[in-house]
Amino acid sequence: MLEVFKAGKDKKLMGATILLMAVGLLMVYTSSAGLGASRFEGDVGHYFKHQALRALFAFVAMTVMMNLDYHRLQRKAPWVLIVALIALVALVVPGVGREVRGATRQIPGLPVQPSEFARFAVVLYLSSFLAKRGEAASFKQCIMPCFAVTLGAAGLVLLQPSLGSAVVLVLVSAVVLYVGGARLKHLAVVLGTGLAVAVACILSNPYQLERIRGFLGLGHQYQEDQSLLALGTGGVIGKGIGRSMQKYLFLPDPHTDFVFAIYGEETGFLGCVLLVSLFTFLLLRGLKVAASAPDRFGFLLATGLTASIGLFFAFNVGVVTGIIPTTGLPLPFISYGGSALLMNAVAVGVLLNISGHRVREGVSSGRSPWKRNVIRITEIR
Amino acid sequence: MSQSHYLASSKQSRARVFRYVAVALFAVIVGRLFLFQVWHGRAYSEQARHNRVRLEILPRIRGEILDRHGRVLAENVLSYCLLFDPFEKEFVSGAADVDEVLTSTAALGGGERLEEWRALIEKGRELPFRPVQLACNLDITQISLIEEHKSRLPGMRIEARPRRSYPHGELACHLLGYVSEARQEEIERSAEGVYQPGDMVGRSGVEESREVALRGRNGKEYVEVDARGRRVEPTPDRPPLPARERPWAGSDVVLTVDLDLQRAAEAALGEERSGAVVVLDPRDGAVLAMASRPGFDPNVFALGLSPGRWRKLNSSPLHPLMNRATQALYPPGSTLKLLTAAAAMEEGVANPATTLEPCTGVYRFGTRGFRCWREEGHGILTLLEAVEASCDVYFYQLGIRLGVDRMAEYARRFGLRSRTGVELQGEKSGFYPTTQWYDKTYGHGRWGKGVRLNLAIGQGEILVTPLGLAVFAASIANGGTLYRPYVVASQVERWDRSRSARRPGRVTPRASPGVSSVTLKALRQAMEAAVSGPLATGRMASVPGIRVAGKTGTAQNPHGQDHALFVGFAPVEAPEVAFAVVVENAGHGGSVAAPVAAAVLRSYFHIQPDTVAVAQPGDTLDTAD
Repeated sequence: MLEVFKAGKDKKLMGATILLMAVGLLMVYTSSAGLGASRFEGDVGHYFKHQALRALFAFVAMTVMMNLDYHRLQRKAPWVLIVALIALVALVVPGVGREVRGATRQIPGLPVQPSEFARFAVVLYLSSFLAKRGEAASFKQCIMPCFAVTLGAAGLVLLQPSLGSAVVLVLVSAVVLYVGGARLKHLAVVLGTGLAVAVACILSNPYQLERIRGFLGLGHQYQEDQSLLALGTGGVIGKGIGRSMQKYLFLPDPHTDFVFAIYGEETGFLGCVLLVSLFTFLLLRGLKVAASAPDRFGFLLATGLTASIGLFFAFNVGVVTGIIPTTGLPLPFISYGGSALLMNAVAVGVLLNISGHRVREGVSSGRSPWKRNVIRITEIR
Repeated sequence: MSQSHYLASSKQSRARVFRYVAVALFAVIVGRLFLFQVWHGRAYSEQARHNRVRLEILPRIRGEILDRHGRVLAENVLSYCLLFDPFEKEFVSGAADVDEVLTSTAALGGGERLEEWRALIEKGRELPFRPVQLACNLDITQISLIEEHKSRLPGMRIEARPRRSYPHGELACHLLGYVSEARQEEIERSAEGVYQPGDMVGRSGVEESREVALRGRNGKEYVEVDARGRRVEPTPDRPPLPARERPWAGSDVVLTVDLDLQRAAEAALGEERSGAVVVLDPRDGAVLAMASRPGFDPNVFALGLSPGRWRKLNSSPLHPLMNRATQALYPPGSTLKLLTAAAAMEEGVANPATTLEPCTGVYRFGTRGFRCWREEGHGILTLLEAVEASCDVYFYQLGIRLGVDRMAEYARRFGLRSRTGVELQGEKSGFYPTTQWYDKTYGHGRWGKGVRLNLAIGQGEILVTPLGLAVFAASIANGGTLYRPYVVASQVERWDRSRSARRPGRVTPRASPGVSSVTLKALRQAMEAAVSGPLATGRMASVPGIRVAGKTGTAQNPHGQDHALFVGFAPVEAPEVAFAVVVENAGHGGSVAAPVAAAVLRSYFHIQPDTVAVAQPGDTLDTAD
């Protein structure tokens, strides 16, 4: 095995991630073939080729993060947060962001969407902040700054507008605060404020309201119904990979937000249970990495990153299976799109690095295996 | 294994909760999957096998455009269109071939369009569910032929759709604009549901500027159909289809334009000539007529214009698509002597009775002789008489006394160096040179002092739009207010037509030229004299029973014959209309543009043409300027 992969101690976690990315590539290929063929002059592989490149890039990013001592991230946390906030603010400035279907979520030229990066940055910052403060959770000194950072970033995400991402951001922060020892009373304030803003946002936006009304059975919800139809059509064993009918005609966004529905149609109940199990396994491994992290920072960071992947998974599959209203969030590692894939791969990379620090006698915290490797090469020369 | 210190902490036990959360999440999702995929699975797959869902777009109706009295200028008529759905079940299952069906349809008629259809369908594939509109305005033979062979033509159907129609053809075409089918990038860029393939988008004029109000919103309905495309009852025990969304008609737009006056203005310009007529209400800036020639028939765009015809229309040397009233720049000629006169009076250079050196037909400045249009000269004139007779020599002398920049400053004050701000797209800004501009263009000191003489009589680099000139004339008429001209009186919701049209806050004074009322009064006096005085150059603009004020202009045109101009207003005692007339390459303002103005005024004041005094042959000399 290559030296660089030794840093990730948790081989099972790494394996699950790579497996998910592979399934993702396969699904992007089958779910988008029809779309690619019609939109890009018969190029059935159009979306696949893009996604394959992004997967490669994400894998490299994961490997790099895996070999980068996560303690170095702790010192850089405020800077990472500042960069993320600047990117979010820049999106709001007219003319900087690129508008797609009425929302501005990208800055041309940047590899990740600012909101994806911001989630990582906020988790990182909260973890390093709470790690420093210890458990003395006084409201003013500890919760207020976290509160401000979380809601500030979430507010900026909301301006894009991307309600789903903002909600996940607040929830992930709440998880970090919770395991960081915040009092439940204080947490309730954070979540309550977030909830109030979200409700106000839904009520003021007819587009969001329509989705909620549809979910409650008061309006229509075409995507959800079609997605359930796709799932249902799959039956126990599915129609076979590449045989989905829904993706051709009926289901909008078959390769992004509703990729799981196409997966369900093609692989059936068995395939779905397998994939859900894989995700659950990944989450449990992530939590295990957190539990055996050598210090408080590692513990908080690992929990937050795992929660971030878990929440995306829950929200996406929840929508597809009709548990919650449409949020427009992608399925981690599976959905078409580079931003989420890259940031999730980075998150797993950090988790893997933390897992490598599990045994204290192992790698000294100041020097990463990556560095040792480099040194060894120079010595040989 | 050394347990890390923090795990001992009671707070850390909180982390354990999430393991249970993850397991619970797993259980819930698997439960849901079991419910849909195993429990209800059969019902779903039955439904998916036999039936399918088709999206029917319920077309919106574009708002109408009406004139100020509610007469229709743009409406919608029903037209039968041939639609084709390349996602018809037969094609998806491979039982039929798209191209085969297209070829056999083409054989029934419209064979020459086969290639075009293929391209349309390639485009249409990007949006599944949406039938592609192959042809419109089918006649009864075509309809019956297709209906007859429908069984061998899967995916083809005929539907009645509204089509934009302009009942008056070319009338007011530039003001109204035209519509054409939404382009691919517009469909993609617009927010959800704004444009669908086949929807019409306003491309110029009011159709474009009021697009948002006019277009309305498409409705949609998902219907379940069987394998033959017939509507069936929804299968029980499966998720219901989304509810029908009804279409919303666009608002009607009521223009300030008067259909009769518009027609009169276009008729007065004539079929053969190029030019523009703008008629404003000087009291608030409402555009009563805006004519531009040559025009085009906006109906051809709604019918679908072939690329060849479009190219022909767009590249014609006469520029029929250009709205000359707002987009063409002309040298104003002597009409701008009014500006020079205003500047001279305001700056104290002259008063209405001031006499200068007599006009001998030529004025010596430096080594050059500047000629007056009247070779034999005008003799001694006051300022008022100089406007009336349009004496060049008098204005040369004013130009020398005023200088370039003072004249340019008044041009700015009267809005002649900017856009008028009318809502129509592509309006051009007027231009009046300054010394700074001359320095920049020709180099400091490398331009002759003589330019100011030319500028003073409206020649040289000055450029104006007919609309800009009309606003200028209106501001003289109304005592010194530059209104922002407006073309839309109100927007009326469809079901609301009876309600009195509320007038939106369109009447906005843009600025005031800051010119004294004494000066403006003198100008009005001079303009009336220019139509009816003994020396009048604009006599052919006179209308019996109405006190008309005006000023002729003949703009030298390096590319051909002179442009004829006429600006003015009427009636003098209480102006109701202000106007500007430009006729390209037609000769003198007095003999060509003034009669156009007279015809427009006769229409406005309902004066029969037969009562018009016929111009005397001897007048022709004076109608020159």
